[in-house]
Amino acid sequence: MGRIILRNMVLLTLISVTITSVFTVGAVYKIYNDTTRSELKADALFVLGLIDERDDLDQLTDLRAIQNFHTRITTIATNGEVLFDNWADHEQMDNHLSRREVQGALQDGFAESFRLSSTLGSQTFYYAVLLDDGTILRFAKTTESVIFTLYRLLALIGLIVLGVTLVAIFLAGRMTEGIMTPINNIDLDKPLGNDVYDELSPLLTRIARQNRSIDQQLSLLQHKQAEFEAITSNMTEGLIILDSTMRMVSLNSSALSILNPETATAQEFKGKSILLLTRDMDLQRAITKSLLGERAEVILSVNDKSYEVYLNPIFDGNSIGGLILIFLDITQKYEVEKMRREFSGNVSHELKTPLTSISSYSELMKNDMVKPQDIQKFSQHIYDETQRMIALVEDILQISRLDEKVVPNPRVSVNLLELAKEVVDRLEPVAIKKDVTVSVTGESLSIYGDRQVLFEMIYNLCDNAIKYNRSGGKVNMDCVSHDGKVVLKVSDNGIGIPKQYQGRVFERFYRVDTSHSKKTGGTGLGLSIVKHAVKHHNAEIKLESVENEGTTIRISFLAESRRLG
Amino acid sequence: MRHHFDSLLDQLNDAMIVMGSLIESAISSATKALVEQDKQQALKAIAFDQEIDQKEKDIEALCLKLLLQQQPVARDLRQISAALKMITDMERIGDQATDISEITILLADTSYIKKLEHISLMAIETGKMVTDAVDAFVQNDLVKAHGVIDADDIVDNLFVTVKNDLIVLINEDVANGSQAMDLLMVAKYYERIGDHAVNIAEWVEFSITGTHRNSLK
Repeated sequence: MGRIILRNMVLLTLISVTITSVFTVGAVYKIYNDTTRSELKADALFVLGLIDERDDLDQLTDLRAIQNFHTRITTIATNGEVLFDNWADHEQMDNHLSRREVQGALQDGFAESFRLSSTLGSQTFYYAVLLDDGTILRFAKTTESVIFTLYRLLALIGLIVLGVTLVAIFLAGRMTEGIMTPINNIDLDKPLGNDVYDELSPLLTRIARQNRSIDQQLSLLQHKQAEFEAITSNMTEGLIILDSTMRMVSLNSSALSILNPETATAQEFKGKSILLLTRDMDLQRAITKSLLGERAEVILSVNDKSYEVYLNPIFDGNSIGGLILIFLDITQKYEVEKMRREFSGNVSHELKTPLTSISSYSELMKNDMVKPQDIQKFSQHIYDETQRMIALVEDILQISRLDEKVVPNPRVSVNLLELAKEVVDRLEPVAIKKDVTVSVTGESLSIYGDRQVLFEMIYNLCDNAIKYNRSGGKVNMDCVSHDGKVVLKVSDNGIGIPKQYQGRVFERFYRVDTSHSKKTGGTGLGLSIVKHAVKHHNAEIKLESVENEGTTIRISFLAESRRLG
Repeated sequence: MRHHFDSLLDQLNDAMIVMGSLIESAISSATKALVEQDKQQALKAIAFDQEIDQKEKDIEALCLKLLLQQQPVARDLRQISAALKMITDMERIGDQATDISEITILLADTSYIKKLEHISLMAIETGKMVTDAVDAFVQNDLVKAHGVIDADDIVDNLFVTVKNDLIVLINEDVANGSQAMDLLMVAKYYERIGDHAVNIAEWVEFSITGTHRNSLK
């Protein structure tokens, strides 16, 4: 900007100085010429006056006296011969007949002319008059020519140009600063609040408009970013975005805790290679494959957990800009599948055992290989085994029903104390056989639930307490209200459960002592049914047991289950 | 220029990690094959060796290119020269895993004359050493590198135990001799893997501190 202003100013100065000089010189020169000419004429008239007065040509010789007269005077004969010259020797001079002023004087009596010297450095004005005696009197005056004048003035003009240019540079600097300072001081955040040149207001308005749209876009972007972060940081699935060189563009906290639970923040891994987080060969191969444009899936095992990793290439036009990796925890799915497989295996095994005995007993009887007195005993065996199978199938049905969560029974108000008493009535024969006393104590409290399921639950708990007991043992069922919850406590002083098995007793078909269970005739599903029933009612179960001292199981029903309490 | 150099260094780092993962996988496959007498796993471990050899050549070429074209100094130079030395040890580990797997295939159809308890321990310990050595390199972790160097004694002691057990077995029955020899070889290979892991850790230490244990002070 400063340069442009300076250039224009210098240019302007040069042009104006040149034009001014040329015109001034021209004008002055014209005035000067006119003056010279009129002076010449005046001199001529003066000399002619002198000649008239004397009326004597001889006097011409007197003209020599005025040799140093400021005007050159020449006398020329009609044939052009120079008769006299007051500045030079007339005999050296050539014939002047062809001169314009001489010719003009011969014709009109007087004439003027003007000639530039051969060097253009000077010019001469001539004034010729034809005298009565036929001679021509010529006056001449020599002055500097316009070109010479200009040439002489050149140094001065140059000086002026130099001076003006210096002033221009200074002024241009000042001007630029003067123009730019307010522009530089414009507050672009609030463009309309500035009081500067009117010429700038369209620009400022445009900037204001752009600022607004930038702000809008920025807040939109920030919002999007926050949204993205909220989603990714709250999702349980791990998410990693890789660029084409396997560096992590983004990763969420779940991904970090899956791959490297020890390190603190996802931030420090941004921009680094994924190889720093996992060196799993299968995953590396899948990444390499995906970077060629193929989708891939791979199972990744980290710290006893299994993850399914989905790799999706991100296409950027035709090339691949990166990868999206999603980690899904499939540990539970795996476990459930494993449990299902085990369950069906167990069921088949449990069903096969009684069937094998039934089959062999009946085969013996069919083949008449049993003594008649033993038939009673054999039938008893067969009966016992079928009873066992029925119990087992019933339990399996019950547990499957609870598994599927399709319990058709409506939820009603159930009085736990009465239900417990009912169970005791039902189990009385078993208790008497085992010589175990069963008592029910506590308040009469009701909860809201599935009567059938609750009955099975208490039945199984009580049944276990009686079965895994010693002769002369005691079982107590206590129903109390505690902290707004209804708690059913079933305690016995039986054989108890060893510490190391306590975590597993709720598993299906799990038995602490298989040989003992055979005798007591359990199916191994009792506590599993209890667990399901508890879950079905959103209740909590707690098991406390000391080996050889007894077991206490507490089931607390949450307050909201007591609607009709 | 510097940017280009940095990206080449990153590339080297990545390649080293990949090679590290390859040897980790080779060892774990070889160990699994040995313990479960699984021929398939053994073949898998052998298949890794080719890839490891290829990676060694790639890294070597990359290191030489870096040295020749970029003339690195100080830390960068140490890192590159350490990498050049480390890949030799890594490649040897890959070879040992192959050797173990070959013996595994040989023994796959016969039952072992003794329980592999100590050899399994060696396998676990050396596997951990290799993982830690690679980790130390990846994370520039001096403490982990020292851990690897210290763990070598455990493996050496286990090797002596295995050797003594096998001597007892041969004394009991000369027929055990042939398998005892094979198992001794396996134990020796694991012991060598441990030594190579220590070498790697020492080079990691050099790359970080600039001094190598075996250098004259």
